[in-house]
Amino acid sequence: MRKFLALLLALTMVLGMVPAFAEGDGPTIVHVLVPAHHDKITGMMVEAFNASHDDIQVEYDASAVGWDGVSTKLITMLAGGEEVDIACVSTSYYPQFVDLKQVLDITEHAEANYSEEEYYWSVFDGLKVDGRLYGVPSSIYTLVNYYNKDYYDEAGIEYPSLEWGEGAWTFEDWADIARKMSHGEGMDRVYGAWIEYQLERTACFLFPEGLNYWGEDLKPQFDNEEIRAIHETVYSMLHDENVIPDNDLVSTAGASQLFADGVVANYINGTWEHSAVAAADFRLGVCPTPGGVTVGYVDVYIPIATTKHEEATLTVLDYFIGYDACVMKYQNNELGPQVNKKATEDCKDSCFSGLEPEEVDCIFDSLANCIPLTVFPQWAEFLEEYLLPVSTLLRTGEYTVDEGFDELQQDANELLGF
Amino acid sequence: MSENTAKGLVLNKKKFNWKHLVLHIVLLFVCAISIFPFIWMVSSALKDSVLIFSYPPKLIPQPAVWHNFVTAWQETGMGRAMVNSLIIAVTATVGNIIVSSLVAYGFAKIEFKGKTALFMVVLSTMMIPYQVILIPSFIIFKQLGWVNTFYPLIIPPLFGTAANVFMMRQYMLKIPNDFRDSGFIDGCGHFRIWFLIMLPMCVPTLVSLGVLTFMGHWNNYLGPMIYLSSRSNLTVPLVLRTYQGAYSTQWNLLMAASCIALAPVILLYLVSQKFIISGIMLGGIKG
Amino acid sequence: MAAARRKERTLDQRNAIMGYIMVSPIMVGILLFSVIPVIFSLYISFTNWDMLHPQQWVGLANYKGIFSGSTLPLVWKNTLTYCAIAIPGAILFGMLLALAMNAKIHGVALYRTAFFMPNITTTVAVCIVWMWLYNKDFGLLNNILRGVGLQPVKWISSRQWAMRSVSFMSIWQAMGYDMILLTAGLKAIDETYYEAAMIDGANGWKSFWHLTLPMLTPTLFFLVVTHCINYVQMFDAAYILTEGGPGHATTTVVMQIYNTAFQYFRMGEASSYAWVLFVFVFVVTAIQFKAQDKWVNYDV
Repeated sequence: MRKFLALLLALTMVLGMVPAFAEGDGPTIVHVLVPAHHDKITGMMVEAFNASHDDIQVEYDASAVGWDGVSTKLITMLAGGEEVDIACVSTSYYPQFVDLKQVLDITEHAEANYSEEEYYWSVFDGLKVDGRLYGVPSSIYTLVNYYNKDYYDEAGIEYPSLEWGEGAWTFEDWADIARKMSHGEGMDRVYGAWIEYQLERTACFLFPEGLNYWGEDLKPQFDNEEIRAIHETVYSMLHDENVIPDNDLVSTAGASQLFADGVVANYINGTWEHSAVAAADFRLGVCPTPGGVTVGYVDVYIPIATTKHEEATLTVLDYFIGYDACVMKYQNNELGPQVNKKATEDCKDSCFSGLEPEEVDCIFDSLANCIPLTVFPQWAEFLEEYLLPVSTLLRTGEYTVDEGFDELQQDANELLGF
Repeated sequence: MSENTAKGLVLNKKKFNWKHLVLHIVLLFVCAISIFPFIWMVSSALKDSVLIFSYPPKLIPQPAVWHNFVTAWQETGMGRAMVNSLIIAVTATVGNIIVSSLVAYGFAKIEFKGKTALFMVVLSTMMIPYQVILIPSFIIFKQLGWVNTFYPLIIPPLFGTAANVFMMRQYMLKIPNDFRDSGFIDGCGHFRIWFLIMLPMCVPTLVSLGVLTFMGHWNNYLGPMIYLSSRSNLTVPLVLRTYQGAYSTQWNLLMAASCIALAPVILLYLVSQKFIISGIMLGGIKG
Repeated sequence: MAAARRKERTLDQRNAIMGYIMVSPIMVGILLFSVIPVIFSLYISFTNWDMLHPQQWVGLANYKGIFSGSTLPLVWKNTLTYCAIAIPGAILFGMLLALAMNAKIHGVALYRTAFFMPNITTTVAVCIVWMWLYNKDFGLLNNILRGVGLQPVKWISSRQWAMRSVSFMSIWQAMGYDMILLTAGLKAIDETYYEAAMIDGANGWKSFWHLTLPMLTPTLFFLVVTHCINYVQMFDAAYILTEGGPGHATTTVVMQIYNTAFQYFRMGEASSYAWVLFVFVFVVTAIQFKAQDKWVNYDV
């Protein structure tokens, strides 16, 4: 019994040592929530910010894992009335939080403070919801085609053009080259191309043709014959022609790994993959996605509407897209191209290692040739419940293109009320 | 007569060996599939590329980059996270096991009205998915001022948890009531019987549950993710995940850090084995 | 005589009070930390709460939709399939391992540690290695199948097999856990019982069936009950191995609860799924407790 009490006492003492943070007077504290994988770069930016500001101090929280983790934690904090001033969310969640009226409208602030000379305003425009701006970009990624120059040389095929838009290679060029470059059997097979058979990604084949899954007023277009024809071609490259590695191989080995190991010749993926593929042994090339109009993904810092100190929050927001912060992101090779013009010009040459200068330009040019994905408040649900599951069924060959698209058309109509 | 005995002995010995050989072969096979993922972890922790696996697979990395462990240790503040995780896991586990066994004694060895109903109430706390009580729990802890402290992770288990109470109860039910009654004769109350007679007899189960409970706390990430936020408060599972990007993952560092994170659990397990295997002798259940 | 009875009664009362005192910690814990959230979630299941705006009472609307559509029935079916394979599998293999570990052979300590490894190996690493085992073209499993002249199987990329594959991996990961608890149970069996059984002429199988197994039934009962409670709430393995796919073939109820609550912000609906799950598990557990007299042996 005495031992037990002693133990309890010891426990209480240990507990007493647990740090409990209390907010006192002094500087305004701005609470920032970012995903765990932004931990390092956010730490640097916050340290620099705190060193240069006496009246405002940032406390950041990078404990949430992945974008769904951020969403879970953010909504828990908001529901619990816990203080949070800025959160970093991905493309998919941004419209949802705006729709729920949880985000501060910063349109006027942006127009007054972010000049055309300093910032690429097209990015801000892309983030507008019904003409209003609710956040600033933390990272901007586009889909590009990485390729293995050695394979092009071996096959005697010219490298694809670096021009976006009209001057880029076409979908047919891409499919032909992919077929030509595929050879070998079993473990020795070289696959001509890879793109994840996931409709959010394959949208990059639609945009150059002026096609989109969503028509006017978000009317679903999954019954469009042209859209289906493009997906039929890719489907056959994946399942019949063995030009694209199948689902089992990719989920086993990892797509970036397959490309880096020379199993795949052309590799369409987001620029977030850059540091992974730059590790490859062969001469790395990069060019536009076929058709020259690509998909853009913008992750966003959103100021939370319930913030108690709006001014300080906006100061921090400004800092995160300011020159110093953007240079830091570039120098650490994190978060892709940035919205700050001067930082981009100064750092362009040193980022995207392993590429020729004109290829780096090509990546930056993609920003002017990308269309952001159409997202709407029910997007997360459409993505999780319908788009991704149907994509996996198409990818594994459990569905034919028509089966998949028929189902999507029906589900999307139901969800959006058509 | 003597020939027969000799034959019997030889036969016995032969049979003995053959059985064990088969057992060894089967066990070695199971062993191999059990530890292969772990070997893969160590092997990828030594890779120089951030990529996941070479294709076709190579198990022994060339060159082996031992420095990954140093990087993983330094980059993420692993030391601090391990101290945090240890504080949480050790306090919660030790307190939980003791209190759970006390509660289990109450359920197993004392008759009182409504016992079955109360026990079902205890069990039913395991049946509600955590996800739907996350927000109300968060609000309670916020009212208590416990957000961004270790309290939400340490205090609730200190009242005992259903699974551990249940397991201890099962074990105590099997211990004959004679032990309790002989305690009464010696003039002990229930508390002393629990502490002096039951606890020593339960050592193997206590230790086994302790290891499993510790593991549960050590690997838990949803709780810490919701309740902790300051950099200095993060636990091991949260720190590990800084390597796992939304789009791409630094596999070699993730695996190196994961290996480091496993060390305390393996150590605890190895130490615990001694208690589990010899445990019953301590209690002297014989008699 | 009467005095003795009176004394007994007071002892019983004293005992009962001690009983309440001893179980009070967990009851206080439940009152403090569980009762309010649980009642709250029950209330929420009758509303359309989005976690941010005031909720509105919607009556049974959430419950009416619980088995509707194409996804939800599938999700319940997946969860039950998983339980049906993984629960008996984990207990059976855990038992076999525990018995093997109880045999007097060389290297037991080494084996025991090895069998524990799946429990602590990072789930991501486990899943990656299992992906290789499950690969339809060059995975170990299909190579074995081809070797014995059977058709290879699309383990993780067919709707038919995906949930089974997730279950197999779970069995492998959980058997070490069950082994640990069963070993503790085995170690509690007094050696003298075996010696007595030997003298009575019982062979290995007989002493297992009549001595070891009955002695383990309390632990087995614990494993069956808690596995039913926990496995119905499975989340991790399917989330990492197959991300709930292909299609919704490996999406479980709790995955659906998580998505509905924190991805689609429909906490009301999510709570109603949780409560249906609760009632189901509660009934199953209650039946198990009623039926335990038939097979669980608490007498030594």
